[in-house]
Amino acid sequence: MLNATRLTADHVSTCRNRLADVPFLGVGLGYRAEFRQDLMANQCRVDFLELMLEHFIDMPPERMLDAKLLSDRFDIAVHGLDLSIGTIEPLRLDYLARMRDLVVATDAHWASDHLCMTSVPGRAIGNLTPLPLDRYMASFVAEKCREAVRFLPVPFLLENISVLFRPGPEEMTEQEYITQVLDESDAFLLLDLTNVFNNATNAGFDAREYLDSLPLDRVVQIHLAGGLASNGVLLDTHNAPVPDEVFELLRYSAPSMPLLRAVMIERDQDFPLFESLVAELDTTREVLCASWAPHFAAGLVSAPAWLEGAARGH
Amino acid sequence: MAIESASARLRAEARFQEAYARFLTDTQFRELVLKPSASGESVADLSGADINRLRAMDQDRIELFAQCLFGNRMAAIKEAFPLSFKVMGDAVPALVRMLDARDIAIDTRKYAEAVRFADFVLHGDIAGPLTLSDSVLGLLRYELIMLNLRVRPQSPTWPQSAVHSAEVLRRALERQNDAGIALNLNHAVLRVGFDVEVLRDLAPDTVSFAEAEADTIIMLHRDENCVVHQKRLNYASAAAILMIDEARTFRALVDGYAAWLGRGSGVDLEEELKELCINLCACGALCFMPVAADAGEDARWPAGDGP
Repeated sequence: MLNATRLTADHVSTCRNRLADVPFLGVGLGYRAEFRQDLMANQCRVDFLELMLEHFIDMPPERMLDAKLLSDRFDIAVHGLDLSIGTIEPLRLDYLARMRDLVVATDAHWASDHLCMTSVPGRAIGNLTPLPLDRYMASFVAEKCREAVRFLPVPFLLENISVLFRPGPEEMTEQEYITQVLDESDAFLLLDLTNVFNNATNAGFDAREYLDSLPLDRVVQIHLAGGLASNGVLLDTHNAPVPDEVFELLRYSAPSMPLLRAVMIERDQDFPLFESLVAELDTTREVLCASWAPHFAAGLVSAPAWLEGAARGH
Repeated sequence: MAIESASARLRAEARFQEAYARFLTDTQFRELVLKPSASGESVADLSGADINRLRAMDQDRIELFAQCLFGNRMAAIKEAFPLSFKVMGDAVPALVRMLDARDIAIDTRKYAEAVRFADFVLHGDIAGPLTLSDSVLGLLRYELIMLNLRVRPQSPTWPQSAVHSAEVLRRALERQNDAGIALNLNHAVLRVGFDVEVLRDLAPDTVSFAEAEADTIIMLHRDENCVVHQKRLNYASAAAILMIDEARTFRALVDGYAAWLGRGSGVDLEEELKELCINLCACGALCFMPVAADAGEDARWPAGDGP
């Protein structure tokens, strides 16, 4: 199981070809029922929605009907919280089957979860928990990830998490760990730039240097959010506007992301007026038009209207 | 790497992960691991290497993580039981800590956490200053049932033979026959010590909830669109509804209800119950089924899993 080999160039190419059919979704929101009414009244201002798997599985049937209704109006990406791909146990196929069901029901373009653990047999932690940075275990995680990729009918993305602490041993950097898992599987990267910013601030490293050593050419989606600080420690609480520093990281890193298909703002609590969320989407679009579009927009088969000007300008 | 040693390493790492997860979620275990011990002394069956790995982590950040988990649990309880959370106020965190002292959570996801908390408060023999009044317990029971109807409904909702039209009852009674009746399986009739509508409208910083206290009987049920509804009942209607499961047919219900009232089953009583049953049918809480005499005649009415 752990004789994982690096993917061949052909394999990587196949993997990217698979993504070639996926359109550029644009700038969207993580769907929350709290702003459903405003969302429906402002459909044209939100390019796509990310549906949180946990909001639709193990729920009454009308939730799945609602997901289908949303997919009639928006492009969809599916995002899970609880695959716990870093746990030393077989891949949770029951969970993945539910992810697949939601993907199929909503015609989602891809599915994602986190590079972490959320449970061990007999105990659910209830939060995204960091893994030790161990080469051997990275191969184990990559093997599970490959299995998930084979299981799902759409590309599979892994997201970097917010890290307050980490168990040893630290045989490698987090960037090396992420690179190894992605290289040894067909998965892509969901880059949470707020987590990068928070981790850099909390641990005292340079966020740009960190980004420089990530496989940015595997980034398909980006998450942006804002959070609280507790005793000087930044927390990933998704209850505040996206900080300017995070937009700056987007501006800095976007030119290195040829496969980028979507950028999304997460807001889970302390919901502001919907107009404020839309304003953050507009800021994101401006940053992408200035930083990403000059490099890659011309190559898009189709693009949202707001990007077409930037593509033509190029 | 040899297969044997690879498998041993995986087993060792899996054991560490179990300890790691427990370390993050179980305060008592964390204190035990961090307590200074003699060199080589075993703690909770952990290897020395695993203990060192746990101790080497930034304990202030671990504490912050644990606080975040606690905050998430409070939020889960508030989301699941907003009215009980409002009335119980500062008692909620104290009760969660009391619960943890008795039994550590092994599943801190939202639904599991909310149900575990409610089970503890309702059945945990809580004594002392945190003892809650019957009205607060009734309110929590109401919200727990509401949550379960919403998130964990019975399936299917109806017997296979159900026919979802009040016309079945009307036609059967016109022909002096009987009709089978069955309650939606996703229903509950319960007594609540508060007027929940008044309570819902009270400001979040309300200190006294006396104005919302009222002895009410409520029927909860999921309708044909899977939405949970509530209907306030008087005692007589509640008694009749509680008899339906046992009666199984309309005429048996009339007889049983008459016996309960201590009077004969006259036309007025039949009309009263007919109106109640038709109302319950209209709102998706009850359905009718043809009995043998009407089965052929009513075969044209659609039957199925739900209205």
